[in-house]
Amino acid sequence: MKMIRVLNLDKYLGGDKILDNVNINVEKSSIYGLIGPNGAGKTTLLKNIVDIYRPEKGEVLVLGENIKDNKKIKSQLGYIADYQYFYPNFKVEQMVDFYRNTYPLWEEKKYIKLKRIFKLDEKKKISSLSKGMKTQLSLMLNLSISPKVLILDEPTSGLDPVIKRKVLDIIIDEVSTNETTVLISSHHLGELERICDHIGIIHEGKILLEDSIEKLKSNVRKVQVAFKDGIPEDIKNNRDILKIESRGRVYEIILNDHMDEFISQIKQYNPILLETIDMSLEEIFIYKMGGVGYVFEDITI
Amino acid sequence: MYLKILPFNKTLFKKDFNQVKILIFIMTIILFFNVTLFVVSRYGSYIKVKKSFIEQNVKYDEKDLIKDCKEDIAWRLEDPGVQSALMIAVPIGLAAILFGEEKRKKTFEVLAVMPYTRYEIFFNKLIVALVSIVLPFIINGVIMLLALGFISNLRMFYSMGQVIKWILHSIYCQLPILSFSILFGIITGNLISQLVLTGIFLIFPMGFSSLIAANLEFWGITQSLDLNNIYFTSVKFSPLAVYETIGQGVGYYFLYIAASIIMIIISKMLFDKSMWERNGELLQFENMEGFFKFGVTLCTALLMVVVLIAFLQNYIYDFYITRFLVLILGYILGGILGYIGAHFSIKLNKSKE
Repeated sequence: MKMIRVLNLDKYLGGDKILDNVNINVEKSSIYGLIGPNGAGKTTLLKNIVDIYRPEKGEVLVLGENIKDNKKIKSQLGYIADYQYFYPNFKVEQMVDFYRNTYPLWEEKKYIKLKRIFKLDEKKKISSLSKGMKTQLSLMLNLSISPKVLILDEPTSGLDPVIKRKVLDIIIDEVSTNETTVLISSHHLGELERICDHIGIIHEGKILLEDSIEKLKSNVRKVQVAFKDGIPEDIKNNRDILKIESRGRVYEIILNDHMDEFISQIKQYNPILLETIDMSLEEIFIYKMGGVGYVFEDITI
Repeated sequence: MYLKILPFNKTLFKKDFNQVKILIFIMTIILFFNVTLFVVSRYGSYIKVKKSFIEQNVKYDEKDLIKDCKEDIAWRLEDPGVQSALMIAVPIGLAAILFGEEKRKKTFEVLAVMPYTRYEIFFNKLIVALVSIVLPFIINGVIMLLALGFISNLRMFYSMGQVIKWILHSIYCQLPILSFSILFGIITGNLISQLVLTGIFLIFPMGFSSLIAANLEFWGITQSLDLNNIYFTSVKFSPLAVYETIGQGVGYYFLYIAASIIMIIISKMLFDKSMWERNGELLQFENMEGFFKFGVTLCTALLMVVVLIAFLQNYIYDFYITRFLVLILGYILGGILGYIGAHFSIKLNKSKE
């Protein structure tokens, strides 16, 4: 079952097209990681999904219904923003009360459990909380509402490594125990690789790729190969090659797809070395982005 | 039953009420010291004056003394000073806290994600604003009525009807200013622009007609127009003119209440169409930017001429050609300055995602 569906979404900000015909699908109980370079449109997309922004074209379906002004769906939707806009003159306990009275599925036991984990002083004014503490508060509140869908925008930025680990563990626990569907955007690809089962890459407002991590990692792989008499031309010119580098006679090839066919092709030329190496999500991201002109360059000062 | 049909929400109401309660408290206290205390202490003051007359053997007429006290109370209840100023400032302040502050702090984003419709958010803010303009007058009115009930001697100075009329008139006068302020709270994108534009447009009809009148005078065509008439007609287009309608007939009451309701309906419709990504910008709606630039350019051009003539009148007034050149220069200079000012005030407030 698809818990989040974004259909042909266009969004303009200040006259610029930020999202261009975006389509994504998030399955039930999955953790979907949204990655993309700065300014790609990740936050704008998430704000459209939670009905802060309204699209110029297209629609957002959450739990099968249009999110626009939909009280029923919103009561099952949690959102942790990249920057928490709470009422600064409120105390933590007042904000908790506000959530408690707003969400019909508020779980007090869960809140008490989370309060023990994060050790946040309820008497403190929100204006006195640091960015990390506000994120923790937002997480406590949004998990206590028993969300069926949880949207997180850079949830671990500004958190120390211990809390960061706790947050990620809590998210995984939430998915496994309550079957919550999670859509998370982050620049920390290592974190996403650890927790996500699906990935969407967004660049310049367009979704470049949407797939399961498993499939993505089996498709995009690094091949180390060496031939006695240099690399044959038809291997070098394979359409699926994202990048090719040579170190002496050893070639490092990053392949986008059709791994089995490529290996069979290589084997025809009796290579003296043939090894396939798994790639990290970060490496996949860099090479995929390189394919659309977003190139990482070595800078030496 | 009706509360279920109307989008009243206790949690939203409580949240908004918490934001404005300090304003309600201040208004109540100021009214208490300015009006209520003055009214309920009249009998004590009357006795004091009477006693001093007797001690000093001054002849006095009892009826005149009572009449003076009655007039003092009547004047205080219609006080055009502190009370009227509060009745303008408080509705503007309420709209600023309920809309402008939420936009400035971007807390509308919290509400947008929560299970509330935009109608609920708007409606509960409106209810809080209405309660806030009513409550200080009700509290003070009740104190005056209780005093009237417990201290029978006070009945010779004021009546229950007078107090009720005071409450109703005070609420009536605040209504158009509140709805006007809410409308500007919706069409502007942040607190500062809301306060500035609400202030400007409250006096705009008078200010603009005065500018037109002054400019026509500079061109020497004043005689052909009844400027006084233009000015007094224009005043009526400001919500502030509501104060002039007290006791002028029921028709005016209906007119201003209807105008207030219309402004609220327009506000609600615009609130539904608001793009919240523009929260924090000068104007909430992109298509108003052109009109804003044109308006500021025009008004600055007209104003610049008034300023230039005021500075240079001793040198140019007798020479038609010089005056003509100064007028043209004023329009060009004012127009350019106005356009640049409007353009940059929009640009500087552009939100960056």
